[in-house]
Amino acid sequence: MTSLTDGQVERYVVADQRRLTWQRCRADIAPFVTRHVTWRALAAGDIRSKYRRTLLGPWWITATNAFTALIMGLVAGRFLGADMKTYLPHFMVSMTIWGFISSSIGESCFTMISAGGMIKAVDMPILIHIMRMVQRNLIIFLHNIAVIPFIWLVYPWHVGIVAVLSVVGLLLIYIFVVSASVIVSMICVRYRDVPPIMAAILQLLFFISPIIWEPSKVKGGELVVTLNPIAHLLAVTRDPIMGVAPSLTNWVIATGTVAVLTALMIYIYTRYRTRVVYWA
Amino acid sequence: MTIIEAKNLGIEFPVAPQNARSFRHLALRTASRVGGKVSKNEGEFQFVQALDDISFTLKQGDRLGLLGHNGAGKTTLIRVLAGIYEPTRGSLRVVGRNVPMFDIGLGMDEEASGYENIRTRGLILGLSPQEIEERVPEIVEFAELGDYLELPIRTYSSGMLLRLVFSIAASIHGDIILMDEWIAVGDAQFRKKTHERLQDITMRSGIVVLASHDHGLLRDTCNLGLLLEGGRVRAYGAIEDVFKELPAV
Repeated sequence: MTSLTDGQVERYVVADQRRLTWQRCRADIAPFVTRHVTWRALAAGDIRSKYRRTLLGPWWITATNAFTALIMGLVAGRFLGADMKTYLPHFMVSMTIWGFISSSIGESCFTMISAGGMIKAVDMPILIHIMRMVQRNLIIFLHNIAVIPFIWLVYPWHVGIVAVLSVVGLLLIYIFVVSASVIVSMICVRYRDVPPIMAAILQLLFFISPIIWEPSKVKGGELVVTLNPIAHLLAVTRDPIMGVAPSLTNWVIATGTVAVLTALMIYIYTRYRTRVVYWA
Repeated sequence: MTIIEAKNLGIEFPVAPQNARSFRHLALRTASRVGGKVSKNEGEFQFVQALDDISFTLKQGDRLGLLGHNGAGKTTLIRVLAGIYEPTRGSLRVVGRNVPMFDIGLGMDEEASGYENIRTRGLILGLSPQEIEERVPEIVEFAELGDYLELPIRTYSSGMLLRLVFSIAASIHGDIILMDEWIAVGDAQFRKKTHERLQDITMRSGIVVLASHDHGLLRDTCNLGLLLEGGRVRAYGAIEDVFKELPAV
């Protein structure tokens, strides 16, 4: 990371040179990597301050997720009449992954709006606000996922070498979440009607994605699963954990979605980055 | 070498009318093109020319005082120099690390302790956690807040908050200090300290830009003055000469 205290810095801005060049894109998105120390430390501080003076600290996240699993296993399973041995692992893994996606994108609606004061006071690249928020949710996700091994102990399923693929799936989801959050946050700071619309869209995605239902058990409407990119992103991450290799279609659609969204994010960020300070 | 070079710099602010951000309005605007019922200008962005045709050059050791009425463009100019607003006209060249010392208290967590805020603020200013730890003793000594650093900063007075923020910013050892008038919040003793520190920085080949209504402070600190009026330069030169241009009160 480049420190403020070393070396010379030169900044030369000419108003008319607003053309989008690859060079400019690269300079704009470089802080994703070069300032990782900043956003990681800020996010860790957020989590620490949130759970200060609590008994379990951030492990409260794990505890509440374990409680959800318990409720599902003991109560909801009976109502649904589902076979808990297959349903509970499916539900908990899917729900944990979905939690990361939906809470990040949901929070991104207000990230730039609430960082408005800081955006006007310090010349910090604005994507650091997004990365800080995503990192916070990633820490929460990692605490949530700690419940999964315990579910496996109660309802063991076959875990093979294929599970390694879920790391690739997670990486895709991470890039997806970062790109979506940058885009959503910049739209939301400009158009203040978008946050409630986003909440509705996330609700919709939750129900049309295989989270509370298993894709193998649906009666009709398979087209929804095929066309829903979230279903594929879930598949390439969850299926390896459950001991199933994702299909080629899953990989192609998941990777394609992430690539398109990231390209769009780079365009929107480079194009409108300097405007956000006026909208915030 | 530290340089600030502004050439015909201009800033045009888009100001969103209260309802222009809404989709409903966007839809109405489109509809109006068809039906012609909604007035044309309603809901469109208005532009404020906040700065217009500003040119000056600051070299190392220069201490520029910004003068002007409320709304003359002092803070906007400071924000442009800090890289927060990009110029919409002209050009700006800045060589050197800048340390923003305006909008006191922003990015500070009211509930967190002074120590925690030192860390957060340091991160935001671009330091790594190790660099911050190295600086903590220096900051603590300069701020002279003692045990208060353990308490949440909502318990601080504005003068104490100033001490903390200034001490953190001063520990950065930047080349360009950009300051707003809040520096006047400090008590006499702390003002003396900040004054010494500022001179220290300018001696070390730095630049200071200070916006203030306090003529005494400007006279003590600055060698150059820039009088703004409605976003344009009314006078620029040695600080004493610029004072003569001030309209009589």
